[in-house]
Amino acid sequence: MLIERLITFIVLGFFIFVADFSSWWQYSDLSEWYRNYLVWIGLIIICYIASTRLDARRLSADEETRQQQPPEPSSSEPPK
Amino acid sequence: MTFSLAQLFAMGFVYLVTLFGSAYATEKGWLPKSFTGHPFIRVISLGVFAGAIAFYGSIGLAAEYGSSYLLYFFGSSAAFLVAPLLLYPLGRIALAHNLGSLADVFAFRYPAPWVGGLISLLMLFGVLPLIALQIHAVSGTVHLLNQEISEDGLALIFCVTMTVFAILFGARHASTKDKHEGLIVALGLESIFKLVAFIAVALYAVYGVFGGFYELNTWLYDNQVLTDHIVVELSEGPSRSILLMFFAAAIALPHMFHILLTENDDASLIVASRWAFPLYMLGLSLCVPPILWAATKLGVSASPEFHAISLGLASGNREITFLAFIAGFAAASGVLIVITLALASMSLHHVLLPLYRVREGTDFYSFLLSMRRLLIVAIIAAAYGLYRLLRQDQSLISLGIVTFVAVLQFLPGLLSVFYWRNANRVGLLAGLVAGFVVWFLMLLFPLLSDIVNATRFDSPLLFEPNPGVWHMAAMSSLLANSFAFILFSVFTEPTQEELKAAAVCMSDSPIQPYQGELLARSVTEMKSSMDQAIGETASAQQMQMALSELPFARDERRPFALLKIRNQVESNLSSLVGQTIAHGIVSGFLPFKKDELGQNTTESVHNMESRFEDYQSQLTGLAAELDNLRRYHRQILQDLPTAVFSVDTQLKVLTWNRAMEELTGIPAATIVDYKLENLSSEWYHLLYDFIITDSIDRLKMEFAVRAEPRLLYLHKSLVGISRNEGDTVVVIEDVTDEQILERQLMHNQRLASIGQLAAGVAHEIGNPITGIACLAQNLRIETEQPELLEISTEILQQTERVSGILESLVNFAHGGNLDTKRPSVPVDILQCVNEAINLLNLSTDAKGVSYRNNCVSGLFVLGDGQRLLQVFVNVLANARDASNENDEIVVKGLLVDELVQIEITDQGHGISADDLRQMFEPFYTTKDPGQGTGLGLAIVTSIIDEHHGSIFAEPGGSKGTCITIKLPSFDREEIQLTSASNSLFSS
Repeated sequence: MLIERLITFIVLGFFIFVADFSSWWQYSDLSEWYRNYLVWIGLIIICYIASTRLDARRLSADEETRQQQPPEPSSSEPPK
Repeated sequence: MTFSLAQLFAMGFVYLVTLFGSAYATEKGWLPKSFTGHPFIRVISLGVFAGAIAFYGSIGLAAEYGSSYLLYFFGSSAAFLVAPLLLYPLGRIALAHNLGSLADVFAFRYPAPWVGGLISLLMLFGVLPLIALQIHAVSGTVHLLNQEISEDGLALIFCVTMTVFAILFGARHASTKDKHEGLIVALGLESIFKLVAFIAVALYAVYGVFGGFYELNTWLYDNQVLTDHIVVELSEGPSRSILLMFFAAAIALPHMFHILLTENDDASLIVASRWAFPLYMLGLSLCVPPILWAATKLGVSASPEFHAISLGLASGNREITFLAFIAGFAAASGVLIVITLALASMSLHHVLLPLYRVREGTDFYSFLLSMRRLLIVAIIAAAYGLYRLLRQDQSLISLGIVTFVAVLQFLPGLLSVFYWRNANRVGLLAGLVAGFVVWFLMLLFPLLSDIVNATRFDSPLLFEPNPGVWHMAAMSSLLANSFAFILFSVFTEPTQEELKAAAVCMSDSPIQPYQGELLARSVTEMKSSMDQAIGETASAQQMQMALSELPFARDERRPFALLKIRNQVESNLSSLVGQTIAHGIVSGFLPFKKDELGQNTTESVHNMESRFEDYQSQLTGLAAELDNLRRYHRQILQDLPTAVFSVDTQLKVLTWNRAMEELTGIPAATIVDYKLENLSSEWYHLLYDFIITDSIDRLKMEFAVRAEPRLLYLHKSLVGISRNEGDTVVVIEDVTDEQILERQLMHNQRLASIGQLAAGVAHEIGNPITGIACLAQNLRIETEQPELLEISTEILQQTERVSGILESLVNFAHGGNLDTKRPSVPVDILQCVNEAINLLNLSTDAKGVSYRNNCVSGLFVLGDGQRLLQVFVNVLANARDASNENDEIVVKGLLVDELVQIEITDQGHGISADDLRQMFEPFYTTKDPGQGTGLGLAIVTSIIDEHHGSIFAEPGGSKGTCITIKLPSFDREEIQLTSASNSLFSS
């Protein structure tokens, strides 16, 4: 959960300070133009780590539970 | 440098053949499944998002607003980077309920007939400029390559080709549950090609134009002013608006939803897309600056948006020009195809089907396919019509902004789906109307008026709003939308249906709320109802499909199972005809039961537990702890050794624990959720009478359980929890074993009392008798009179008899105490029986009775040899007394199941059944008075009990009686190990 908060915090922070980032990029040394992408790559790596299999299980839990066998047997004939 | 029409056609043809070929080969199964089904292909097909805006528009953005071009790439990537906020909940709902479009999601969350239709129409109008933009991009690049070719004609051919592809590979199945693998593979390959081509063009810019990265950096350093002065810096507001617009576009645009959630049913791909899509966009965006700078260096004069192509043209490199053109063509065609398919499905499900009534006898599936194909043609035709109105140098970004601001209007509604329980359809309608009115006034109206002006005065269309207008349009429409949405939602009440849908959609609420109990009581009844809605054939197909996806049989009758089948039918129908119609059909024809107040009936405990079971793995925190507590209590109830069950006020069984299953032999699964009357008649009458009789809370009665009489003790109690007020809990105790033990205990107590009495009597009588015997002895010594001598002899005989009786009494009284002085040693049964026979043969009462000892040798028991000898003497003496003259008594001994079994059979008069039951009781005898005390067999029983054995009697064949003694066998190997080899009888 900590890693999720970190990602959300970074993206939200970027949204708030987007103009400042733009200015920084705009007026920084163009010969190092590629360094803007380093932050982005870092974020992608964090997301890769965060995308554990737990996410997939959580996401498809509804689907799985619909497929799984319930404890009750399928026969529904009441005893007579 | 120009390209001839033939060359352009050849290029387009090669690409299209590859596109069609890959899709066709996938559909036919010619390509290996490991390739077509590979997650990489499926994830990278999301690259379809990068259409003409990414390939052309982003370079225009970079040329005009510097590094702000990154906002397009980063904004769309951010939607995936923060996937848990919006993308995952959307995926969870869409996958679980087969929701095939954004309109389906809204119709699911805000159940009203008009919601899906409104979303579809707004999406159609909002996205049409984006489709026209793709056509415009292709015609624009063709114009660059050969200015003599009729772009409109080429655009028409492009549209027709794309229509054919969309129909052939994107509209093959009526239901969205059936995936179009060919389409996905073609789009995946297209995305790979786009990225590779874009990187190739960028590398050409670096190495071909500049000569390497070092030279590029040197040029940038030397021309800082050149690159800076042409850039307009975007202020804070527009930057934020662009970021927000592309964030919303990446989720809400129909082609993204279509690829991510409609054509995909694998949750792991959604998870993988979280990092894969931003990585793809990062790769594309890295190529933008080198291409722009290379074009600047070469002094390209054409529109910056087409620099990717102009670069090759300006440097005279035909291969790079060709590559850039095909990549741009691929980008535009991908977006056009998938958006059209998605819009066609939305319009069909939410606009056309609700308005158009299918005639009876029409093949419904063919009808759906035909209508979808017609809609594909209509949408592409409309986009082509809009394209025809555009000017040749119309900015792609300006046109795209119209769509992106429109799509932004769906963001408040979409967020509320997962994060606001009280949001309702009135608020949604108000918000959308407010937002789209502002959008219309600020963006669409100027575009349309420009088109009208251009048409009326035959002047070129000029629609170039600046970033300030984008920002104002985006923010004011979004604010108006959000404000109206919140205001109307707060001041109007959500319906019950909306609250239920909200509970399902809320990302922090995994448990489905209770829906109610179906009116239909069986699958057959459900099918009959559905027959009226969609016809017998379709109804049978849908029921069959739902049953095959759930573990229930056709004869299913349990309410919770029927509810699951209903939800599955709705989900399957939703992928066929859309959520609105599916919900309408299922709600109308498979309704819930209502109580007297018109409310849904309350949920049974079993149904509630069944729902909780489904979501166990998803519960976290306090909910998980409470669930564990619930399970613990539930398990206690289940494992309770006492039978417990409960019924509601309608006498429907709610719980039925394991002990109850064992007692009745009726499994819980076959009675829980059924009425009590479904029990077998004996149990039903017992339980029914007990439950309905208010005056009786406890009942003790004998009841035949599986033909065996058992003593049952029933208690009942009313449940006092408000929700289940009136439910009854019944506890049934089987006290049969306790009753037997109680009787045994009383019997033993009686025997103990008799023993004490006997010991007391023996003591009190023994002393005077000894005195009498002494006096009689004296009398015999002191007299010589024959009468007195005879009397004294008679007295001595009688006192001897009394002493014998007293000795028996003392023996019986001491029977329960094992003599600790005598250690338990292995006793040879054969030898012991022989000894008993020898003793009896010395007796004068032998009556010519013979004994035959058939015991096998080597039978050993651990115990007191003298006492066991007493047993055999007593039993054999009884047998002798019951025998006639010259009879034979047979003693048979053998080892049966680790027990030494000794059978003593006589040929006497036998014994009646009543006597058989009582013969081991003390003081019970069938002998004549004075012949026996009735204590012999009681003592025998006592000794056998001490040796942990058993004794019983039964009629012995044709006549006589057979006494069987069973004693635990002593292991032979142990005999060798013990020092007891010095046998008992050696002493």
